[in-house]
Amino acid sequence: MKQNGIELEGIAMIHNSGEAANERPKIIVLLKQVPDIEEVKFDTEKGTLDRSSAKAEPNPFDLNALEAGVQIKEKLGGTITVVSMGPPQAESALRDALARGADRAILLTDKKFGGADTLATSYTLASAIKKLGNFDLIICGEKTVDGDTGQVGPEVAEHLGIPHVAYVSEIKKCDKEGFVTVSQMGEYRYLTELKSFGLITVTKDINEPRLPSLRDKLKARKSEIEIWSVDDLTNGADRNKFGIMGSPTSVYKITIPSVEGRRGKIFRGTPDEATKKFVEELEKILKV
Amino acid sequence: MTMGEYKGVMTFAEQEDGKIHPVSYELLGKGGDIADKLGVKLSCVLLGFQMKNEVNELIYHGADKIFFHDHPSLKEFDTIRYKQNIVNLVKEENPEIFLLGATHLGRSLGPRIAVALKTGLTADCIDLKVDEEGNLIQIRPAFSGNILAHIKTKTRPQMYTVRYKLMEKRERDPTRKGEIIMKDSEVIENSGTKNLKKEKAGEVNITGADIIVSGGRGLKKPDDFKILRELADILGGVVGSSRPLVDEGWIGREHQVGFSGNTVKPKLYFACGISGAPQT
Repeated sequence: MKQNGIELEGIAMIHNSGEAANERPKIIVLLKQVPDIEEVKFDTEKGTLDRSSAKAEPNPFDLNALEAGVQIKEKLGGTITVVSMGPPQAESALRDALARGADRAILLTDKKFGGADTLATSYTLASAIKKLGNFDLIICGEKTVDGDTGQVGPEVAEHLGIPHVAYVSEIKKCDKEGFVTVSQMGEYRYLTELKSFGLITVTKDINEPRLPSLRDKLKARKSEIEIWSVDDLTNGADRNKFGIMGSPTSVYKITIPSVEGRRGKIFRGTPDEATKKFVEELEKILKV
Repeated sequence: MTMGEYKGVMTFAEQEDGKIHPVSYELLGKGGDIADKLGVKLSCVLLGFQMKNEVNELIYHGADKIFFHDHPSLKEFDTIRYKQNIVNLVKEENPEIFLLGATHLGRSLGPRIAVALKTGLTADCIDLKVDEEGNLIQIRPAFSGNILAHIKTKTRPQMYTVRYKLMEKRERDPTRKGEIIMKDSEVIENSGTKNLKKEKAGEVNITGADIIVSGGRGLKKPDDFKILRELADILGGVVGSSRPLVDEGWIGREHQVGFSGNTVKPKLYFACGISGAPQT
């Protein structure tokens, strides 16, 4: 169906429409658990990475997304549901999210979700969001530090047929009429109004994520993480579109980029002579 | 449709205020190499309003055919409007390969097009090669640049965003001839978002700078950037920074150099107080 020019495949019924506007906003935050990039080790021979070499943590950009959600909730009330896809261990990232202010956490975990590229990942996340139903705003980090694609957010929006604004660095206004965002697009900063509902991807500039308190951490330890498998999503979703089956792209080889060795050069002589030689060298480079 | 029915290379020409973004010419350079190798034509899609002579520039830089959506509603970037018109065109023309720049705009728009076309999209490619079977091999950094992934796509069109300032554009040839096809645009009144205002994000254009004077953790205090700024001013360059100092708030993110900030390709780079670890 088409409404307001946007294709809304079944979504029109489930987002917060007009009469529901008085309700507190329902926010969904997408979060991924990633290996600590500073620590993770790579096998340069085999071209693989050793996931056990680094501890797992929530993707840093997703913590900005969650903090943005918490700030909206502090202003307008409402609820935050965090959705993640990953292995069972990703539960710890969701517990962290609960400690940081999320109300509900859902982990999509199933071997059949494995090997997913961005198309299959976004389809899986979108299917879970459809199952959740009613929402006003979906917030995600601009990208993950492992996959580095920045594609999943906008792809989720397209699967759901909702508008999105990427690279949001500030939320200028949020009320029941909608959101006004500041986003960075190349050399320009855009002030964009997101009417009523949609998805945003946020940059690190948007906020400084707070650390959870010990009390909240302890509380989160006892909270329930809902686990959804393929069977929980297939009512309305096509199981061939999950995981490796639903992924048109595949990595067939990994290489480690060669680091070009540095070639030092020492300029000798009196300070004036050496400076002259150095400047000449720089001028040569700049002429190219 | 079978695989063989998809033919040709198509690129997306990005514009801002009616000026073609330089990445568009780089895409034509790389797209042209691929098209030559496959023995197919290179086309280009442009959305905007009253672009006049700028359209010809795409031909001078290698496009055989321009599909121009000339409409007031497309003057400024709008994800849904741009997506819809490009998807309509791709479904008519069925290119085998579709390229966008890995700019903010391309990386916001590309994913939506890919999902609408139910095809794969590889982000931020730094190289593209044609294999023996005529498939494209996409090479892109992952894990914050620590590894390079070599990727293949089994659906059509094969879609990529390509990193800015890495591909060579072709020399401008004003005698080059090509075809400009004016397309009817699908007009979407309400796209769900509305641009209220746009402004230049500050005068720093680090990705386009020829000279960068960059500071890292070796700096002692935020004020030390003044020394670097002085040198940059004398040389007509700009000031860059490594991530930790940006994270500390010593300098704005528009100055950040590296994987998570801006890809730079200066002729001259001064690294001051930077250790040279892979992630600067």
